[in-house]
Amino acid sequence: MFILAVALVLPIDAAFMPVFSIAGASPSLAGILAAFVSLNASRRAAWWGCFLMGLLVDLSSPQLVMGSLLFLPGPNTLGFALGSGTVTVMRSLLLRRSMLTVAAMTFVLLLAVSLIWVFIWSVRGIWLDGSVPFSGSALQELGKRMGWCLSSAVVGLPIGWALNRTYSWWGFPGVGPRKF
Amino acid sequence: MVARGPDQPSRLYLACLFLTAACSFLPSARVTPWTTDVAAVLWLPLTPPAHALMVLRHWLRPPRDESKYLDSQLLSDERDRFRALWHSERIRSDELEQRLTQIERAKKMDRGGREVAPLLASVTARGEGPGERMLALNAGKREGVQNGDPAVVGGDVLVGRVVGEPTDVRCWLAPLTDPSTGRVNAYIAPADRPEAGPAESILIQLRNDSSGNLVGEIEAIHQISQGDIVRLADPTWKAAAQGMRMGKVVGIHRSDKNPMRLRVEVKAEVDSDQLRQVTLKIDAGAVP
Repeated sequence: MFILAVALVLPIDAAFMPVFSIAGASPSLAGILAAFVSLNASRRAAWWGCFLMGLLVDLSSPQLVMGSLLFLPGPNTLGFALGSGTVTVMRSLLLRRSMLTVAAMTFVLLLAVSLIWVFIWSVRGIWLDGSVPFSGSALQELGKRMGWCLSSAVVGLPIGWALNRTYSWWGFPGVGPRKF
Repeated sequence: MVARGPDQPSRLYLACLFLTAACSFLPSARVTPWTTDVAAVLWLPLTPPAHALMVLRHWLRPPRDESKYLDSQLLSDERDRFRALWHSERIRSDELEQRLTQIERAKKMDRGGREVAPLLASVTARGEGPGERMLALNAGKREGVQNGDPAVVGGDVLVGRVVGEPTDVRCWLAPLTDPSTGRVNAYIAPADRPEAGPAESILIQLRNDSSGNLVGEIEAIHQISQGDIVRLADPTWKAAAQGMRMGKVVGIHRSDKNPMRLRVEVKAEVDSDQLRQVTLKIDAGAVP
């Protein structure tokens, strides 16, 4: 189920989600799916799933570095891994099967992704590549990415509701019929 | 040895994280060859659904002025070709005047004399993240696309250029406003004389800023106004891109650092978010 969902989400993110974009920030379904899985799957499965999803996102988003395209495995991979780790730590305090929770955790997860992404590319820019794949300062890029996190969280409300409807299909370990 | 509990990450997972972190800080030359191949293999099955979704997206949210971007018409392509040729020739002739020797002049003639063939390509995907991102096009080496080929819409509105080595069926386009485009030389033609050449215009070097516009500085003695046309005149871009329209002047302010200079803000004419198709201007000689 997870593999199928990832195979659906990646092309949708790349090709279709800009239809919902506001001021250039198009929501990330991958982030919403990662938050949903991190909320409900066993910890190890969630970590591995998000790691894999981040890796696939990295391999679908090239950056131009010193004149050549660079698909760098790392910024999103580690970001999704950190985000998933954060959500799995917080989830015991949350009502997992609420769409509000999915939306809020999407924001948290993508915030972690943004922090790691900006950090890695900034470090590479200083020590390796001599330039960064964003204009302005790292803080300005983080500001832009906050808009991206926010728009993803907003879209996470209906998608989270829909994903919660499919809860029984995923084979998550039982957590009881908690529902908001 | 103590076994790790189900709530602790496995050693394999930690090793993968460590390996990925190490990869993140490897020099680009060590990462580029294999990740490009892996990404191409990964995207091979995903390209058809992505293309279908892109068509659906443009059906749901069409570009603001569809008629402006109808590149498929033969007329538009012809106009595109002749405008490119005209602007390119004008810039080349200006450069030629400055050359001192016959040999250098001959070299310049070789550079500008290439025939350009238009190639329509559809946008099939975009990179992840906010703001300007690279666009994946469904055209590649098989059609003769090469690194650096410029992409235009609406005849002579420059979108960006192909970056990296294209695969047989796919290439990536960096929009003008993408930070990776770096500094670009251009000239500002008055709004009432948009066809003015670089010799009678104001030269400027533009770069991206965080607001998504292109910015540059000129000396304060120059007279420019909002709405003036900005055209490319950068020798690092292919001849087919020379003289193409990049955008319009939208802001003119005194430079904070140097009051004798003006800071000029240029807004790109194309919103890459809204693009469905572009015309790639490829070397006619490269077409198989």
